[in-house]
Formats: sequence, structure tokens, C-alpha cells
Amino acid sequence: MAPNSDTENHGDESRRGFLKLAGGVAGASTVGGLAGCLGGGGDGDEGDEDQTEETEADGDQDTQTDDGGDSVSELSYWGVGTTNPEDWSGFEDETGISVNYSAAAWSPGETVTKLVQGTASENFHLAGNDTTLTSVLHEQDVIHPTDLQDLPNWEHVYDEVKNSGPTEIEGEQHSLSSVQNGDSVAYLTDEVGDPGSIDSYGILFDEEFKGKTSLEAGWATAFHKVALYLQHNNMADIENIEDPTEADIDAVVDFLLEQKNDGQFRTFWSGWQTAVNLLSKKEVVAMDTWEPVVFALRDEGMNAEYLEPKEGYSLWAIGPWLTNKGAENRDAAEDLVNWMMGGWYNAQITTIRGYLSSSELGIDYAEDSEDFDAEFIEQRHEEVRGRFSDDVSVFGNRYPETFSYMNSQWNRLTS
Amino acid sequence: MAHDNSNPTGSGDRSGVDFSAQQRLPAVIRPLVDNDRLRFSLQVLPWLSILGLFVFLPLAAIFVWSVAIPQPFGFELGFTLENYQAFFDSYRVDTFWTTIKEGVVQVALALVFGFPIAYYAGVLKRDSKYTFPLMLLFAIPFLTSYILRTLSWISFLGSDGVFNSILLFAGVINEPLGWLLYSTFAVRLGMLASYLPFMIFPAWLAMSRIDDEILHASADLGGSPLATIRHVVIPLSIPGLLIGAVFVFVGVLGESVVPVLLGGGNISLIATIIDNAVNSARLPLASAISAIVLLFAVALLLAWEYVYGLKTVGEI
Amino acid sequence: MSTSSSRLSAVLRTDPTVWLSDVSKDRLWKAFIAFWILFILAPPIMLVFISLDTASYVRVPQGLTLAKYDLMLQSEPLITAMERSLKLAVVTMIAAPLLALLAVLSYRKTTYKALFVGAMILPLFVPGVVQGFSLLMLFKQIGFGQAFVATAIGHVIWAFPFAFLVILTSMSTVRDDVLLASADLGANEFETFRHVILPQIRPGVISAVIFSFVLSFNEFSRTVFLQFGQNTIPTYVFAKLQVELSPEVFAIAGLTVVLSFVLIGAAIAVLYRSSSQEATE
Repeated sequence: MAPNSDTENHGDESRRGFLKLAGGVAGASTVGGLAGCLGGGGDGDEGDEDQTEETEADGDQDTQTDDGGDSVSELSYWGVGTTNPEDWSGFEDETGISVNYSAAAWSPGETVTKLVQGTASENFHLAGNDTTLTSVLHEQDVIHPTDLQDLPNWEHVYDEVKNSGPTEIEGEQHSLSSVQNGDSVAYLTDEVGDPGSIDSYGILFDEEFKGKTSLEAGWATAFHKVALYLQHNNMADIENIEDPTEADIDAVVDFLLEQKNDGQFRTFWSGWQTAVNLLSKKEVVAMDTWEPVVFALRDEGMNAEYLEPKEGYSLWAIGPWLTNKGAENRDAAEDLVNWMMGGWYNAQITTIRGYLSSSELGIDYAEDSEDFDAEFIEQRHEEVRGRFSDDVSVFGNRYPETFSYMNSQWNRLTS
Repeated sequence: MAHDNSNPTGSGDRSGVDFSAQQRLPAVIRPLVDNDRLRFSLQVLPWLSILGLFVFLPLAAIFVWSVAIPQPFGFELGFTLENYQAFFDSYRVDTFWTTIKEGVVQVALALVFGFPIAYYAGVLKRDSKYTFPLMLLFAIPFLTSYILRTLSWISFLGSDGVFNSILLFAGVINEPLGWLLYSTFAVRLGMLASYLPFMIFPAWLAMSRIDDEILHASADLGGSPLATIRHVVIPLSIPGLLIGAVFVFVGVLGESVVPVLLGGGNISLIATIIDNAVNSARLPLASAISAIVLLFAVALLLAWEYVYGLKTVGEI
Repeated sequence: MSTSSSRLSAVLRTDPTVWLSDVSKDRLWKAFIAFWILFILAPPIMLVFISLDTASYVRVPQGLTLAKYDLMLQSEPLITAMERSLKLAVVTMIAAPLLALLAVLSYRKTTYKALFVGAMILPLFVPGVVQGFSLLMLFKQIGFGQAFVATAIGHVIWAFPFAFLVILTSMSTVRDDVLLASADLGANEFETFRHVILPQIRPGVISAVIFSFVLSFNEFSRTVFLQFGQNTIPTYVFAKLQVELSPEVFAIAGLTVVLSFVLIGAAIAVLYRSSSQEATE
């Protein structure tokens, strides 16, 4: 390769070049799901509208038809699939602005890299991902605070949601969580027991179900559940669950490795399809997973329940941030954010996935509308809000200081 | 193999060059053809430049990145061995050796089962015209998505899958066999299903190249079919078998789907480790692991050259 | 009497293959081949059944419905991804064997044959993700952002060594003295190629074409980095299966399997009919 002096000169450029590329990479990469954390979203731009042929790291070119002013005809939203209402026509009809949705993976490493080193912040108006990434992204100057004056729906948002995760920094509201839930374990009542008698993550590690449970291959919510379990039952000395130290990570991973070597786990799952397969075929009777899996199982006629653990839930929230591009087109972008706190969106998200959306406007809307079951929405909201305000559930940080160590150690489970 | 057209050929004309061959070419490219060196470089240029730019340049880059200094969000060009250290000091090196072992297992399985199939198609039934369409059947799985193919093994191997159901029904077992799925067995089975055709096709190709006369001669000399196989078919088809072995081995090295979907966390291959590294934005680590794989490949190639000779691939 | 030096035969004094009659040997062979064809085809055939199954998750199929195919036809991104996969596969199956052919022809003229072959085989060992990533980096450095060409280059680079090795194997039967004879008889290089070399390596070229098509159609790890948002079937299916229940991807898999069976079945039928026609003539 080039002689030293050249390499040094090129060093910075190629680093910048790489970092930008890493953004493009992370964006294009769909393998992130298997690696780190995977939530309800997949990457690969499989949204309803195709992206143009430009690459995302192509910062100079705008793929949208706006002029940097406030008159926008299309907003681009890059968010986790969990926040996708499947139908943006409500917003489009109201404002005349169309929404170009691209799926993002619920993978902190990818997301941060793409926003910070890539040009996602210049390509999309809004980016929607795990709220715990807010401070990192704020430090790196790729997201902007919103102006609450322009968000009339904000005052209706539940308190639990307003305060969930570090969405507020120095008095300014950065992230507005639009979808949240507390995760625990899905189990089959016929095999494991009635909801009344089951109340602990221990069922995952119960000898009775040896070889019939499963753990997630990614640590996003799984880590915190196990840590809660160990801490609550005094099985290990866990200092901090939300921002774990290396010792904490070691304690959890060592425990899990022990369980695995004992044959406790049938397999480690990743991805929706696998999750549903495992339970519906009864390969496993209990697994830590997302709540919509339970609804899907019930649709197939199975008796499945979502655990109410005494140790507490693993809470998460996903919401949109205003990117650099969004800040340039503040009015339109904030309109979309506002709409995502509005009635129809709230009702829709809770209906199709059972998650808690941001405000009671969802319930109000459902009561007046025939398309939605207001009772169901109200019940779901109440239940999840309860999870957020109990004393035991934790809101894990998806980008802790020990991020690299966590990734590396958790991967030991599947090797 | 440049042929010098300046030697007198043909009948009658002894005083000069026979240009009739060139004259059958369009006038435009005639000057090209005359100049041997130019012609050769034109032949070489397209693929060499493409390979050079898109294959060998990135290959060199991998080695450069493998010694780069990792940074939180990227890397800085420099020289450090910490990436290699991160590889050797951790579970990753075990995974590497597991992958090598699985690669050898797959090659062995593919040889044992693929050789007879290729023999059948390339020697026994070489005159039948149904052979080609039949062999094409082996290519059908590749027209579906790899992930879906692998997922469908679940319906065969699962606790309520086809195999368990049959065994239970026949009374052979009382409880479903758990080790059929989410185990090393399942991974090996899944990989064999994917890579067997990669062995069959080159082996078949090599065997179909063997002259009829040689086979007949061997039989005439009193060789039984088994002896013919041992003394004639195998030596002549070794290049094809070696190539098939390379394809299968390379496949295992790059395999990241099957262990994740069918392995149940019990077995992990190096490609998954590399994927993880890339997606945690740890490119220097990923490059270091890739460099190790490449060095291993070089060692393999050197061993091949020493034992058998690489150029025999292109000769009979 | 066999002069075979097979140790087994020497020990047993006979060749085991003569124990069986030709008929049973033939049957054994057929059974063996049938077993392996079934083994290889079991997953795709199961996919067809799954695509017709009533459940949306993977299980031993118990129902019959065309619901998934309905969804498939409605799913625009899926159809786009399929088109894209096909286009890329066609480009690869033309470009890779072509380049490989040129490379093989050049190979015959070089002196460093071992190094040549080694250099062709080595890139096969580069892990897909890393190769994809490094290509992406290269494209960024030269400022290239065209998705289709970038992905196509990735696919051609991946398929090239396969095509090269396969064509090389079949090229081995082309002997130098035959080529010299052809030149002596007055053919220029192009004619020699067309009339002498090509007929002999035709199976190899066809194999290379099939290989390249199949490799490109299935290519995942490099495509992920180079597709710039334009999905191919493998990347689309992967993304979809992570997100939510996607019955339509099973439908498209089932469809391709059925189509290929139909095509091959038709080919066999045509061959059979033409051979029986010949017989009656």
C-alpha cells in the first residue's frame, strides 16, 4: 500500500470515509438483528415506498423534494417497525404531506453509527429508535430538541411516558416516546400453569421445564430480565441493572452459561418468525419475548399468557427524534411528531400490537370510532402504565458504557 | 501459446506469409490480431482489472484494517496487534477451530455421498439424455431463499415434525427425539443439504470428461467396475473432487444462517462471529478474523500445491 | 479373472460387485440416487406445502389455502425484490462466465500456473460480510452510488472464482496439440476458439452459467452492504422474517419451486417424447 506519509494524510480521510461508510453499512446491514438487540423492526428499507437509488451515505444529495425551506411535500421517517402504523394516510390526508417510511432495526450499535457517522441525520426528517440512545445522539449533535409549543398533543401524553427514559435533556424535550412496553416472558398456560400461580422469571430456569425454554439471542431486554431475577432473588450481586458494570454482565452471563450447559434452553431465538414458531409448535413452553407474540398465539387458538413477574418488567420505549434534516423543516416534521401522539395513531398502535402508545387521546378516539375497540385499548394502556409506575421494573440503557463488553459477552451464549 | 504466422504454410506459396487466416477477420481488428502481445493483453485486461480493483485491493485493505487502532465509532489507521489479541484471547478462536472441523466434516460427507452420485451421472449414465435434467433437480433448492429452506427443516426435525411423528407412530420411540433439532446434528444436516450439490456438479463435470475409450480399455484389461473406479475414475476426477471440496469448505466458512436457525446456540461458526463484529462497528476485529481465515486459506493452498500441485486442476 | 489389486477383492478372492446381479445393482443405484434427490428436494417441497398451509407459522402442514399467494401478489416490495434478484442473476450469469472464460484462456498461456490458480481460489475465502463491506468502502472512496451496478459487481466478483474453476476443469480436455493443429490448418485464434475449444468446454460453460445464476440469486452477505436500500429476495426475506409474520415470502418460495419442477418436468417429457418418436421412426 501507499508509503507511510501518504497513509497518514489519508488516515484522517479514510477514517472519515470509513465512518461515513459505517453509516451506510449499518444502514444497509440487516444482520444487526442477529448480532445485538432486535426488537420489532428490521432493516432493509422494506417500507411501503421504495427509496431512490442514492445511497444513504450520499450526504450531498437530497432524496426528498424539499428546498430546505418549510414547504415540504414528503417527510421521511426512519424508524423501528414497532412504530409503523402500517397506514400513514391519516397524516397524509390531513396535511397533504406524504410519509416515506423506512424500517430500522432495533439495534443500538447500528442506529448510533448510522446517525453519527453515516448521514441518516441528513437523509431522514425523523429517526425513531430506542429512547435511551437520546443522550448519546444529543452529545454527537445529530438530533435536535423539539419545541413543545408546536406540539399541542403533548399535554395529553401520559406522565409515565413523558418521563420514560432520558428523553429530556437540560430542560429540552428530545425524544417523544410513541410506543412502549414492559417485556417479560410468554408462556403456554397448558404446560406451565395458570397466570395466578406463575409470577417469576424463574419459570425460564425451572428444572421442570428443562430443555423447553428459550432465551433471546440479543440482550436488549433479555439481559435486564435475568438481572432483575438474580438481584431480586439474591442469587448474584448486581450493582446496576440499567447501566451494568462489567462485573454485573459477567454475573448474568455466567449464570446463563451455567443454565445453558445444564441443558436448560432448547434454543436461543431471534426474530419474530422464530419466536412464534417455537411456542406455537410447543418446542418451548416459556420464553422471554415481546408481548404481541402472545396475541399472535391466541389468534392461532393457543392458550398463552404474558408473565407478570414480581421481579419487575424490562421496560423500553421507542420514539422519534428530530434530525438535522428535520430541524431544517421543523414545521412539517413536528407536525408528524404531533400526529404520532394523536388519537388515530395511538389507537392503531395499541390495536395492532398491544403496546402502550403515548396518550389517552387514543382511547378517546377509539370511543368515537367504529374501527377500534376502546375497551381493549383502555385496558392495555392501564396495564402497561402500571408497569411503568411500579417500583420494580427497570428501564435498561441500550447503549451503556459497557456496550462493547456486553455484546461480546452475550455472544458467548450462542457459541 | 502465441502462434507465429510468419512460417510459410499451405501449398505453393513458399516466398511469404499466409495471411488467409487473418483475412477472414474484419479489417478493423486485424492489426490487433497481428500484434501478439497486444492481443494477449486485451484478453487479460478486462478480467484482470476488474479482479484487481474489486477483489485484490479490498483483500489488501483487509490486512491493513486488521492492524488498525479501534476507536469507539470506527478506527484509526495505524499498527496494533490488539485486534488479533482480541481474537486469540477469547471464545472466538474456539469457534474458528470448530468451523474448520465442521468444514472438514462437510467435505468428507460430501465426498462420500457426492462421489457415487457424480459417478452415476458422469460415468454410468453418461449416455442417457435424462441425466442432465435429473441432475438439474439438485439445483432446484437454490431457487428459494436460503433462510426459508433452512426454516423448513424445522418442520422435519422438530418435536412434532415429520421424523418424530413417523417414529412415534411406528412405535419406535415413546417420546420425540429432541436432539434432531437445535443441535450439531441439525446443523450438519442442514449444511449437507446445502453444499452437497456444490460437490456433485464439479465432480460430475470432471467425470464426464473422462474418455469413453479409457473406461473401455480398463474393462478390456480385466478391471472390474470397482477396480476401474479405483485406478481410472478417481485419479482422473481428482481435480473436480478437489474443486468440489474447496466449494464446500468455503461454504462452511461463510455459513451464518444454519447454525443460528438450527443450532440452538450449541454451535457457532466463524461467519457469525465476523458478522457480530461488523455490526458492533468493530471493523478492525472483523478484519483481523478475516485475515486469520485468509492466512489459513493460503496455508491450505500451499499444502495443496506441495502435495498435489495446483496446476493439475487445469490439466488432465 | 480379475487382475484387480483391490485389497478387498484380494482378500475375498472375488470382486464384491459381481455378487450382485446387474438388475439388483441397477435397482440399488436407482434407490441410492432417489434417496439423495429426495433429501435435497425435501426442504423445497416442504416449502410448497407450507405455502399452502393454513397456519402462518412453520409446522407440518395440515391445511390448504391460497391465502399466502394472495398476500404475495399484493406485496409490491416482494415482487420488486424478486425482479431485482432475477435481473442481477441474469447479469451475473452472463458476466461471470464471460470473464472466467477470458481468464481461463489467459491461464493457458501463462507460465506461473500454480500462482494463477491459487490467486483465483484465494478470494473465495474472504468472508462475505467483510468483502461486502470493503467493496462498499471502495465505492464510497470513488464516489460511486449506483445500487444495481454495485450489487452486480459484488455478485460477479463472488461468482467469478466458481465459474473460473468450473470452466478450467472442462478446459483440461482441450489439448495443446489439437490447438496447434487447428492453427496449422489455417485458423486464426477466434476461429480456433469457436470451432475447437468451445464445443469441448460447452458443459463447463453451461455449468458455470448455472452456478453463477444460482450463486447470485442466493447471495446475501455482500448484497446487504451493496444494495443501497434496494432489496433482493434473500435480504428482503431476512428482514421480513425478523419483523413480523410474513406468509407471503413462503408463497414466493413455493412458487419458484413449483415453476422449476414444471420446467424440468417439461424438459424431461419433451426428451422422452422425442426419443420415443425416434424409436418409432
